Amino acid sequence: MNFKTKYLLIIVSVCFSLHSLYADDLEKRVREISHKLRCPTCQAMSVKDSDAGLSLNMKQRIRELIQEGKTEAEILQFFEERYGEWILRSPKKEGFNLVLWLLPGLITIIAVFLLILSILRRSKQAPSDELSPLSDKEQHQIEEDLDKI
Amino acid sequence: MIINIGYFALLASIVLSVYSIIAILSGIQRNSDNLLRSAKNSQFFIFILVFISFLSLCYAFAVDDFSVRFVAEHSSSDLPLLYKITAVWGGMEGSLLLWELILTFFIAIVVFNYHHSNREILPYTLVILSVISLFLLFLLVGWSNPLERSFPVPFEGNGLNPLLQNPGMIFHPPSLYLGYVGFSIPFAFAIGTLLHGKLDNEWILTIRRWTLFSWLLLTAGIMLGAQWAYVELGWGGYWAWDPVENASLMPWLTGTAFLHSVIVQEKRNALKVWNIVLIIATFVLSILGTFITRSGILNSVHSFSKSNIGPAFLFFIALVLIFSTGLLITRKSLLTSKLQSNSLFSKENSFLLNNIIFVVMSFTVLYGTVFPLLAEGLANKKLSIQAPFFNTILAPIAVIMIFLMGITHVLGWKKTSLSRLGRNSLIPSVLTLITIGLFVVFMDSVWQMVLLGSSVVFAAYLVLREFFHSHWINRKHWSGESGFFILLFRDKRRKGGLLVHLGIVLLTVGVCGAFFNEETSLTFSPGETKQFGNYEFVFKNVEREETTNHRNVGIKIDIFKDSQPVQTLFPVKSYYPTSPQPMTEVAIHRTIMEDLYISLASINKDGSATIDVYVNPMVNFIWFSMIFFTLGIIYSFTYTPVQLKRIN
Amino acid sequence: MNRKLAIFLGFFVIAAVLITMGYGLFFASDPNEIPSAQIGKVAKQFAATTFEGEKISLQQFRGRPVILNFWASWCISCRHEARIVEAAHQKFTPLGAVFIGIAINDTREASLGFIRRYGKTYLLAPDDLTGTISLDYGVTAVPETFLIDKNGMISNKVLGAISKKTITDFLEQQLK
Repeated sequence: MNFKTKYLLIIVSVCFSLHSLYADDLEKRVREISHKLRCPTCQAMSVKDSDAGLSLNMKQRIRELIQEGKTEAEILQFFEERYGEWILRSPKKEGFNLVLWLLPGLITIIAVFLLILSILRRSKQAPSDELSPLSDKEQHQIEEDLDKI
Repeated sequence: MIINIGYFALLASIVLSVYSIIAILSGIQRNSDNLLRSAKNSQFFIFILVFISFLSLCYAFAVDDFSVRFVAEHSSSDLPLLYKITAVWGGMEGSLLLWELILTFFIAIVVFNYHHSNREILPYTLVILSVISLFLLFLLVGWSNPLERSFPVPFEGNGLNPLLQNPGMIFHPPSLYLGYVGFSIPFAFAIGTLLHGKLDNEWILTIRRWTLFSWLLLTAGIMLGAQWAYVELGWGGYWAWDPVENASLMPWLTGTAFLHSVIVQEKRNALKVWNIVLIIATFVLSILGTFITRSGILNSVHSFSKSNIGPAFLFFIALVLIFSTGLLITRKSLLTSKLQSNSLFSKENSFLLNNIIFVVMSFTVLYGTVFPLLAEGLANKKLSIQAPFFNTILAPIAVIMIFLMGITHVLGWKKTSLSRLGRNSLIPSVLTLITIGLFVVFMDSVWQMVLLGSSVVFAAYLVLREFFHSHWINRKHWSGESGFFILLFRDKRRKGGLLVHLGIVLLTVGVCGAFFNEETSLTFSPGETKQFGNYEFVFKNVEREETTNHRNVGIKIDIFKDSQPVQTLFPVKSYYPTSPQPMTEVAIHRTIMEDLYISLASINKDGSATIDVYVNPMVNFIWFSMIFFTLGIIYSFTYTPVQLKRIN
Repeated sequence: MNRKLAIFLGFFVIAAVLITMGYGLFFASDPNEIPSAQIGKVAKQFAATTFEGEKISLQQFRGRPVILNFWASWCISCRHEARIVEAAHQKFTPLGAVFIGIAINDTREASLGFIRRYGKTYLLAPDDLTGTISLDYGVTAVPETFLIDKNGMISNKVLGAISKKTITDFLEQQLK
C-alpha cells in the first residue's frame, strides 16, 4: 500500500468514526429532549419511551431540528407553541405553576418548623410538672447501664 | 340460572346487611345481647351470599356465558381458563365484587375472632363495616353490576386485554384489595372506639396484626403492579407516576405511617389523635384512589372505561370524611395524652416527624395527581404532570426519611443524651460523607442520587448495627440456653422491624440503580452482530410461534457478555385477533447486578430488525426487598404483645 | 398546636379535596380532549403533493376559508365523518371554500383504498414520513379538523368526527 492510499484510509476511517460518534451523540440528544415531552397518545409516558406513531414522528422531528442546529430550549418551545404547555412533561416553573412546585416544600418546612417550635415550647413549660429532669450525664449513665442488660 | 342465583344473592345480602345494621343499633340502645348476636350471625350469611354471587360470576366466565355483559366485555372463548378466571377482576364490576367478597370475609373473621374481646366497641365497629359493605353492595346492584345481562347475546366476547394476560394479573389485584380492605378493619375499630367513647388502647392492640397483614399485602400488590408494568409496558421502567399507581401509593404511605405511629400509642400512650387521623386518611385514600381511577376524571394506564359510579363514590367519600372528622373533633378532648416528650431527640418525636413526612409525601402524590384539575379550574389550561415533578419533590423528602429510619434506632424513648447520639452516629455519618465524596468524584451523578445513595449507607449501617447488637445482647443474656435458632426467634418484634427496614434499604438501592440506566436502539440483519456496553448481540433468525389465542413474531438473539455466551433472548410482537395493535413482549436477561432488557421495535421490510436495548443496574434489588418485607412482617406478626396475652 | 387552627386547616383540606373531585367529575372537560394551542393564531404554512400528483400549499388559498382535515385509513371515527366532509365539499367548494385532507402515518395503498371506498374527492395528500404537517398543527389523534378563516387564522379545532352543522355554520359565516 503506498503512502497516498494509507493517507486516504486514515482520513476515511476518521470520518467514519466521527460520523458514528456524531450519530451516537445525536441519538443521545434526541433521547434527552424527547424525554422531556409527553407522549400525546399515551398515559404517563414520555415521547422517548413510547413507540406510538405520533411519538415516532416527534422523535424524527426532534432529530431534524437538532440537525438544523436548534437548541433544546428552542425545540421544547417549538412543540409547546404547537401543542400547548400540556406537551411538556414537567410544567414550567413560572406563573400559576409555582403553586404546584412550591406548595409541598412549603408545607414540609412549615410543618417541621411547627414541630420543633412545639417541642421547645413544651420543654419550657414542663419543668414544673416533671420530676427534675435528668442531666445529660445522668442520662448517659442510664443508657450505658441499659445497654449492658 | 346460576347468574340469577348470584344476582339474588346480592340482593339478599343487601337485605341482611340493612337488617344487621338496624339490629346492632337497637341492640346497643336496648343493651340486648340477642340482637347483637343475631346481627353477628348474619355476617356469616352475608359472606356466604356474596361468595355465591362471586362463584356465579366465575362460573359465567368458565363456561363462556356471553349473555352476561361483563363476561362478553372481558373474555373470549379462546382465552386460557386461568385467564378467564382472572378476567373476573379484569374490569371494574368484577373488581368491586372481589372487593366486597374480601370485605365480607374479613367481617366474618372479625366477628369470629373477637367473640370475647372488644366487647364494648365491637358492635360499633361492625356497624361501620356493615355500612361500607352496604355501600359496595348498592354499587354492585345499582351502578356497576357484573351480572347484568345484555341482548342480543354476542357470539364471541371482546377478549381480555392482552396486557392483562400475564401471571401478575392473577395476584396483583387480589393482593391490593386484601391490603385496602385489610386497612378498613383498623379504621372501623378506630371509629368504633370514638363512637363508644371507650378511649383506651384496646383497639390498638386488637388491630396490630390486621395492620401488619394489610401493609404486607398492599406492599406486595404494589410490587406486583410494578413488576407487571416493567414486563408488559416495554419501556424499561416500573413506575410511571400514573394516577392508578399513585392511587395505591397514597394509602400505602399513610398506612406505613400508621403502622409506626401506633407503636408510640402502645408504648407511650401518645400520638392518639395522629393515629386516628392516619387511619382515616388511609381508608379514605384507598377509596379516593379508586374514585380517581374509575370515574374518568383523569386518564391512566388502567383506563377503566368511564363509568357512572363517580358521583356515588364521591358521595361516599364525602360522607366518610365529614363523619369521621366530625366525630374526631367532638371526641378529641378525651384523647389528649399527658406523656409527651420534651426532648428534640427522642423516639416519640422521631415518630412524630415520621408521621409528618409520610403525610407530606402522600399529600404531594395526591397534589400532583389532581393538579391538572386545579389548573383547568383555576387557570383554564391543560397541564401534564408526570415523573419529573414527583421525582424532584419526593427525592429530598425520601432522603430525610431514610436518614430518620436509621437514626431512630439510636434514639431513646423520652430523651437521648447528646453524647450517646453523637457516639452512635459518628461512624455512620463518616461513612455517609465518604460515600458522598466517592459519588461526587468517581461517578457523574445528579444530587438526588448522591443524597439517596449516601442516606442508604447511613441507614443500612444503623439498622445492621442494631440487628447485630440486639442479637449480641440476647446471646449474652441467654448464654446458658442453646444455640442459634432459639436466638433467631427471640426479640421478634424488633427483628421484624429491622428486617423490613433492611428491605427498604435494598429497595432504595434498587431504585438508585435507575440513575445509571443505559439504553440504545440497534438495527441489524440476520447474522449480524452489534455491541452495546459489555454485551454483544447476534441476530440469529426471525421466528414465529402460535399459541391458543395469539401468535408471536419475533427474533432470536444470542447474547454474549464479555464475549461469553449467556442466553438466547426472544423478544416478540404478539398479535391477538381481539386487538388491532400488536403487543410488545420484551425479553429480559436478569442477573443480580443488572437486567438486560430488550424490546422489539420493528421488523423492517428489508429483513433487518430494530430493537430497543436497556441495561438496568440493580433493578432486581427492588424485587428482592419483598423477601425481607415478608420475613420481617412474619416475624412481627408472630410476636404477641404482653398486654394482649393478659387479656386473652 | 393551636387547636382551632388545626381544625380549620383540616376542614380546609377536606373541602379542597372534595371540591376538586366534584369539579373534575361534573365540570371539567374530558381529559382526552386537548384544545388547540393555536386558535386565533396564524395557521402554519405547509406544502404537500396530493395523491394525484398535484402540488398544493396553504398560502395559495389565502382569501378563502379552508377546512383542513386530518385522517387515516386505520381510523374508525374517520369513516363516520368521511361522507359528511365530502358532502360539505360538494356543496361549499363551488362557493369558494377549500377542503384539504391530510393522511397521517398511513400507507399509500391503504389511503387510496379508503379514498375510493368513501368517495372522497377533495384535495387529499399524505403527510411526510415525519408527520411534519400534523406536528405543526398539534394533532394528537385522528380525525381532527381545523377551521381556517379567509385571513389564514385558525378559527377553531374540532376533535373527533366533525358534524355537518359545524362546517356549515363556519363556512356560511365566512362566505357571506
